Amino acid sequence: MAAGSLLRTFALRLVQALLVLLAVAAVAFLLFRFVGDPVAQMVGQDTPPAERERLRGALGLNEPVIAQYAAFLGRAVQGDFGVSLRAGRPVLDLIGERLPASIELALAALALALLLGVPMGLFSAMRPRHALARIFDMISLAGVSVPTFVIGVLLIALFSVGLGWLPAFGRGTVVDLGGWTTGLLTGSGWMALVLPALTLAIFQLALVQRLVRAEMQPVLQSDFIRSARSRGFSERRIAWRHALPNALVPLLTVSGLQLGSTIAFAMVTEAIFQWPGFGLLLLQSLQSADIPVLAAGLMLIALFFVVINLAVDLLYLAADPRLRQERPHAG
Amino acid sequence: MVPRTLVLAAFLATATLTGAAAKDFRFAFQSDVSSMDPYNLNEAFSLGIQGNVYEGLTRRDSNLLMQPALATGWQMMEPTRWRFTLRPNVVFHDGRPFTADDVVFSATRVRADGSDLKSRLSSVADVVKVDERTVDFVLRAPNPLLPNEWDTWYILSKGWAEDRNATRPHSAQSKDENFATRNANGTGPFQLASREPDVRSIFTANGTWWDTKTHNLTRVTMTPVAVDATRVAALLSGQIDMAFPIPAQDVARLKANPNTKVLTKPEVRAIFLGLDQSRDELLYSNVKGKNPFKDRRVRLAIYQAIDIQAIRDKVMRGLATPTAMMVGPGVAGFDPDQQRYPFDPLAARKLMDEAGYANGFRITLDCPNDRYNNDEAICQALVPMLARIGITVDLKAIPKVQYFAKIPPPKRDTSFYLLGWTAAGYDSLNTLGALVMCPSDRGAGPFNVGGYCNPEVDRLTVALSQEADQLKRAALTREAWRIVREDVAYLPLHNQILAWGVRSNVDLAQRADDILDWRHITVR
Amino acid sequence: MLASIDRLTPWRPAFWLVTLVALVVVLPGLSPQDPMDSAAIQLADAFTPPSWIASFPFGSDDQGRDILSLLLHGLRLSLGIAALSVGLSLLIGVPLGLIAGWRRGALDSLITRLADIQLTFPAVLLAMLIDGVLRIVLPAAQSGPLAIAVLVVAIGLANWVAFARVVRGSTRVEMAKTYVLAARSLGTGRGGILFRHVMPNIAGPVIVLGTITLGTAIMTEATLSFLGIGLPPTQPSLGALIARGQNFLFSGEWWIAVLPGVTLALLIGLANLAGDRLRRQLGGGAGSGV
Repeated sequence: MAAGSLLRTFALRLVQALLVLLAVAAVAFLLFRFVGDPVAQMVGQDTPPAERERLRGALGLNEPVIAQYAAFLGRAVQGDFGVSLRAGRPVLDLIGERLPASIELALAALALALLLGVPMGLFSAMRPRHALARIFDMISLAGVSVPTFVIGVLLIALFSVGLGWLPAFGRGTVVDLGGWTTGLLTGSGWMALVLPALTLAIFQLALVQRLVRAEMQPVLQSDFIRSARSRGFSERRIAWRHALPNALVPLLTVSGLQLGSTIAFAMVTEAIFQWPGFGLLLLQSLQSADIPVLAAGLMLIALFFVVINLAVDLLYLAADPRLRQERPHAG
Repeated sequence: MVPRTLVLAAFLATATLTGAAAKDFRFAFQSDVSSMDPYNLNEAFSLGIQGNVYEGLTRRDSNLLMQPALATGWQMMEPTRWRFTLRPNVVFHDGRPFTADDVVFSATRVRADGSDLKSRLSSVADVVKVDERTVDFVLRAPNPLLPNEWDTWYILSKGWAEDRNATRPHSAQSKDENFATRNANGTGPFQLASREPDVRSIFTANGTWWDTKTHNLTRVTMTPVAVDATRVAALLSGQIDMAFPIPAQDVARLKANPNTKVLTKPEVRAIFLGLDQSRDELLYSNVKGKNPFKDRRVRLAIYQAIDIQAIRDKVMRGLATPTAMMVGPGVAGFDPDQQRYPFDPLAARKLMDEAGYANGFRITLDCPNDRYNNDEAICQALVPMLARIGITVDLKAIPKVQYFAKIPPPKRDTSFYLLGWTAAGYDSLNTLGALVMCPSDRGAGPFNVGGYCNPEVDRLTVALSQEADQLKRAALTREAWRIVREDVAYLPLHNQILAWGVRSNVDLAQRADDILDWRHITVR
Repeated sequence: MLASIDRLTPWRPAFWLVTLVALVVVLPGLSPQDPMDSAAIQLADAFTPPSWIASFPFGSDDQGRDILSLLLHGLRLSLGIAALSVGLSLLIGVPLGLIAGWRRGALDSLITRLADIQLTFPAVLLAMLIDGVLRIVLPAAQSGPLAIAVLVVAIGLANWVAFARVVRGSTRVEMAKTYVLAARSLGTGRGGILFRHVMPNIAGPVIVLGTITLGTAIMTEATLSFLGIGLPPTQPSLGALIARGQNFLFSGEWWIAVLPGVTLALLIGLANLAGDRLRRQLGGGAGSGV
């Protein structure tokens, strides 16, 4: 019975996911009326209005929104997301080229945020009066209150211009592993990753530090930690083994909630460092009203959210039998 | 054991060798070319980059003077037939010889669906191969300026395009990528070695180029860097050897750095304000039932209320030349002696009084915020200046992608706007025809958004388009511009001054059209 | 400095925040120059460095406007836009979260999917959409107030999902608690349970999230300005001032970006500190909801 219920829920969620994708595409096509004129970006200053109008017609931009939407869906079902107006290349090729850069940057930033943020938060919680804890608090305060674009520009000024240690832009030398380009196999790739990853990480790092600190303070005063202390466990062991796991669930929840703003900050970070990722592609497409790329890009983000939610829900369902039992009498 | 001096000598020899062999030049512009296909986009930067790989029948030197290139010479056989003699012993990068067939093919391709450069041959009815080295262009009507823009009509190899299924440019109907989008095969001084769009493109010197080499480069790397601060930082840190454009506020910093320098030159583009003179009621204004901009006194009042010197000094930080003209220096018909109406707020106020607007009015000024140098800041500076003659300006500054959907025809959704224009072919005729002629259904005045209309200027412009005699052309142009100024048809602001940032060990020639010609670069 | 604030009463940062808000309402009236009065601005005054004895104590910007006056007006704009947008997020997110947590089933699914759709559209895109729609609905509106409305709605829409999720989670937790079950069995109506028992318990996490979101909203507004989609330059918020001023960070006119930057950091810092204190006061750990 449990397996059948799971299967049914899964099927239901799949249908819902499809509906979400359709709705996202619909909103996207409503939006495209306002992003600007792609044709103005595709021709030179002297191209006469009549010629522009002809091109607009050829691209189907004079069709009603609903017709453009239907045409897009019709092609998308066949796996054809069209050709970028700006680059003259298939949209899927473009996105495929750009995704690895963004994924590497996002993972590097996440790793930095966790590797630095968790210990910083722990330390601040355990020794709130220590000078270092105050410095950590200040850093995290700066992280949530200085705009990403200012942090990026300041890091470049310090590490590229001032010290000359790290490149100001780009991804360094990349290695192509059959469709996945990676910068992680070359020295210049690692060097190029540092500043953008740090810029993107600072906001998350601040969040992680503050959350860990906030979650840890009550936990450290709870009975079971006191008993662990009385049994003579070291402070470090108490913090990492006993207290930290309690802080992880809210940490993940909040990180999930911040995903939306992370995408926006990633766009700005990629723009500042000319990082050839998906965020920069979206921004460039926005700046040139490249409708096919925007449509496919938004669908991809929607797919990402849908898959994550689906996975989380299924995990909950599998782990918590109560949720399954409650369902029948809930609606 | 090898003697030490020998090792040192060997080391030095290698060092010198690699030094001589590898002259890398890395530069960054604010965007990438959208395609390597030279018929894809009629825009200076793209054509400029492609012009290092491809060549036209003519070319321009660093002072924008026309020179023969793939044609060794040309003559007007009769007013509607021009004969071009082609350069012998020229080969494309893939080894194919350059022949008359390539010119005829390129003439067809540039006029095909998907080409943005159809205007290059718009007056041409027929292209006839006379022999392997001679091509005739038969015109519909006389066109004295025929080869004026042919420095950017590049010649493709017929055989290459046919082999690669690229006989037509990428068009709206294309479902796939055109081979010429990321590949190139020209006759020029450089060839495309690798291309990752929006990331980096690498070019190598063409060893079989027909002309004498005036550069010493072996390799050119082009990377787009969109954010100004990053581009400047990359130049300062030596990650690149050259960057453009340089924002005005960073010029002093680059000049102060011993490793970098800044080259400046007035640009051919003119920046100006346009006023709605055709609608009976202004858009986005509180004046109802009439159009104050139809009154010359109001237009002149706004002109004289603008403290152009303060804009030059503070907003542009000196990187602008105030102008009374709608064309820039280097364009035929540019007259440095034409004077601006003087900045005079009192006179301006008086003009407003006389026109019946003593209490002023309210109007929205449309402005791009990412198109011209400090465009938004210029418009912002105008707000207080016009406030002092009673005009309340609501400033609407938007990104160019939205701006150019709003301002040009068919929408013309503005009554007061800022625009820049570069005279194509470096002749006033282009600007007069596009911005000044009365807008008509037959395509005259296509970008005359404000709808200024003076039949006398139209007559002069039509005469200019058919006149071959240089002295008469100059007279017609001068008279047309005199009327435009007299009518206060537009409010010219300034010519931008180009600023290029260059590492100290690089020498190059700066062109007034903002095109970076790699033929004139040497790296020490 | 932070630790010393730690030792003070938990409401101290909230007090400062309220004081700041009060000042923001009062201060622009006291500013030396009215940056909205364009006739008084002289381009010749541009780039005056800060000096206590001169007419521009905090210096002037690239247009010759008094930075102090700009700060006072910008502070009001930034805080106003952020507060209104958080209010909008609350208005949408809390009811939806309550319904989703309470009703479950199809309605819950619908709201969750709505949230998925919402999360797909970054604030930048939303701002463009709303700008376009408002322009059609209100063709005669002036660009200034319209731009504020666009920002409020765009940022507000971008943030409601977080509130809905937190409220939904908390509601579920509360509804499962024994006292609610007991109240139910005693025949208390659904509405009664919701208002008497559930609402007070979700107030804590919502207020905490509200203060965090206030900070994020200010940052988002600044980012939109950086991307050229924001308030008109004649009416700059703190974010818009920083976005413009960062061009001059290295050309000697540091004050144009740094002074608004410090003000912004102070504002967000206070909002966050207040959030921390409130969190501790109201709900113990954030685990209860956030």
